[in-house]
Amino acid sequence: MVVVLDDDNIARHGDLLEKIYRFRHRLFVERLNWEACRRPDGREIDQFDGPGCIHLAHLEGGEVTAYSRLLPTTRPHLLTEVYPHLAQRGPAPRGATIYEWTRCGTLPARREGRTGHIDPATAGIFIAAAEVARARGLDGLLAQTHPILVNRLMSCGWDVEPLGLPTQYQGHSIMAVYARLTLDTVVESRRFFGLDAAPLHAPRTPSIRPHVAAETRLRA
Amino acid sequence: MTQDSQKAFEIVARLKEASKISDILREMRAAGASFGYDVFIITNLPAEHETSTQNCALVPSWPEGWRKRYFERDYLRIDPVANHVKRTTEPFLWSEAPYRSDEAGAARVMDEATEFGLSQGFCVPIHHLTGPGGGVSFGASRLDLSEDAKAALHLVSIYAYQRAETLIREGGRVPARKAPRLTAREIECLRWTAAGKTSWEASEILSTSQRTVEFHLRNAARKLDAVNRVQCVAEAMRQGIIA
Repeated sequence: MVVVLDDDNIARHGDLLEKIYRFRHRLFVERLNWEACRRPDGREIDQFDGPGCIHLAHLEGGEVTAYSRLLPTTRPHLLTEVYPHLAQRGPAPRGATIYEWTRCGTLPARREGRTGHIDPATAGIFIAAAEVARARGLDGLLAQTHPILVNRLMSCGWDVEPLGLPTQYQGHSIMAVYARLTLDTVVESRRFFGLDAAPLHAPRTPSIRPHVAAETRLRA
Repeated sequence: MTQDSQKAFEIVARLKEASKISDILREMRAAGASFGYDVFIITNLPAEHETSTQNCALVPSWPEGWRKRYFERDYLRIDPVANHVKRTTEPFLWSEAPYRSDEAGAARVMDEATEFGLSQGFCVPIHHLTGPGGGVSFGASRLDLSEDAKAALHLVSIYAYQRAETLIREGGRVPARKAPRLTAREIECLRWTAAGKTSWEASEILSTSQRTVEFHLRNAARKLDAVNRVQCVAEAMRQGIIA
């Protein structure tokens, strides 16, 4: 299940937010060695966590197993503050209907999926990102990522515009893109992860896991 | 913005609109004139169990003789460039693809490639799916790429591969590593064969003629690329078609 936290409900979910910060520290700092984000209290929080930010957390047994954060581009965000050099084509799109997709990650133990399929936790987060974007009437998401994920975004039905060339950062490529939401993004994302048999609003049969989301569920 | 990056963005914009494989072919050939490569290939790597590499190539724009030899002899399995793709997500020069001096096959592939004018090259791995991955490889008799040109080709490759893969998938051509489609009847015949029944016994169980059972088994063998019934059953089990 993917839970969505935003300004409207975050105050009621302090315990989950705490789990999210600890998950981020375990994954990004302790596992992926983002040393600049290391914190003595084991909670990975940066200057962009705050009002307007949307957290997507994939939960299994109450624990966070995959996560992503969407930042409003009406405020300072990573592309303006941390990676401006990646946008070599000039100023990147921003506005009320454009968010920036950051901190996308899955607990390594959950990454082992069935052969030929990407694990359900990652699938849940990718589908949730598309569903949240659609539900909130967004035009698209900015992202700075390894080019591999650029191909994955395209396979998930996003219309991906490069904002610059791939650049080397600590031995790996990274590039900035603007991924436009299309009419097919949600359906294509589900198909890509092998969930095309499960239409969103159909009655759920027990064999189909409610991967996503739902905002409606949470707000209720 | 440099000249190379400007060119790359223009090529990407056109690749996104490509409606046929031949559009990609034309665009990528034209790009060769700008970046200095003579030929290119967009390909997937073969999965371990795949018996042939012939279906792996998405857009092979290699000299005809080399393409034929490369796929007929399954060079995709021993080519050090292809093997390096399995180990990295970052672009590399062909000369950076390591192989041991005792790997005679690897040396032979690199050597024979030069006979077709492919002495130097650059390869961009693409790994967005699970499985062995694929990539785009550029070859020339002499290839001199600045760091900027490499980044530009990296970007172009991401879109060229993606567009080719999408067009082929939407075109309904059987993707290289999808399980072949067997009919319910063929699967039924395979199940009884796997359970040790002769085709006559299977025909009695299924209330049909022995000839019909053999017909289904032959078709199943053809689809699974098997030369006899034993291999056919083994292949069907390995691919999870029968349990």
